[in-house]
Amino acid sequence: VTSQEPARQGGTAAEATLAGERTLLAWTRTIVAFCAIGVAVAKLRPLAGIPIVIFGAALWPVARPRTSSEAVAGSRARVRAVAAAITTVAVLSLLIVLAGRGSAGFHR
Amino acid sequence: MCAARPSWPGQERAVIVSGNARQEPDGHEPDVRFTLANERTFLAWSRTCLALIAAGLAITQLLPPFPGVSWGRSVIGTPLIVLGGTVSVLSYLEWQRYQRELRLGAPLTRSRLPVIIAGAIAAVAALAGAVELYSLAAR
Repeated sequence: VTSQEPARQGGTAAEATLAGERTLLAWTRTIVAFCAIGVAVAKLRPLAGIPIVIFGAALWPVARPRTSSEAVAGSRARVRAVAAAITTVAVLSLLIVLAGRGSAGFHR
Repeated sequence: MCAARPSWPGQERAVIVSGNARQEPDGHEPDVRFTLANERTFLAWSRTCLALIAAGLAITQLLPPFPGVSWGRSVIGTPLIVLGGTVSVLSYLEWQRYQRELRLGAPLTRSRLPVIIAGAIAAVAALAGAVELYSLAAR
């Protein structure tokens, strides 16, 4: 058991590192999708869309914790920020749809 | 394995919430991999929400109108946007519940989000089909 201990710990550390990397990639995909929808909204309503893009870009440094303890400690705040932001985008989109049939849309 | 499954929905939740889990979570910090996996699951749901909202915006704003059905696009697109917003809140609540169950070392309660989203997407698809048929008939 003792001889296996270091290998098992090494495996765990490697798994945690790779899990952290997958999480960062998941954040990247989410931020890219967030900015893409921001650009789409900006095309319809620039005043609503540009803040979405800026917020998406601002999420990037937040999504990149230095240590695993930092990753765990900040998890709730990050998740909350994303949930609140997406709900806001949904409400904005709903307002765009309801208020005026897309004055900047391609088809009236 | 069947014994670990709750006999009625929300049973484990009720047991867990009965403690002071809401303010100061009981249990201990889970392995960082579990926290990260929970975060990734939440992010995957977030992207699904963004895709739903984008689809709703594209249908209402970019799609050419259905001939003879001026309200067709709004009827299909608006539920998708509402669904995206609702699922983003629900996925946060799911994240919170999983995190609490991980802290307590409790078995994870199965999420109801897949059923909700599958049902809602099927309903919107049926609605889109109905609008298309109505448009063909009105032409």
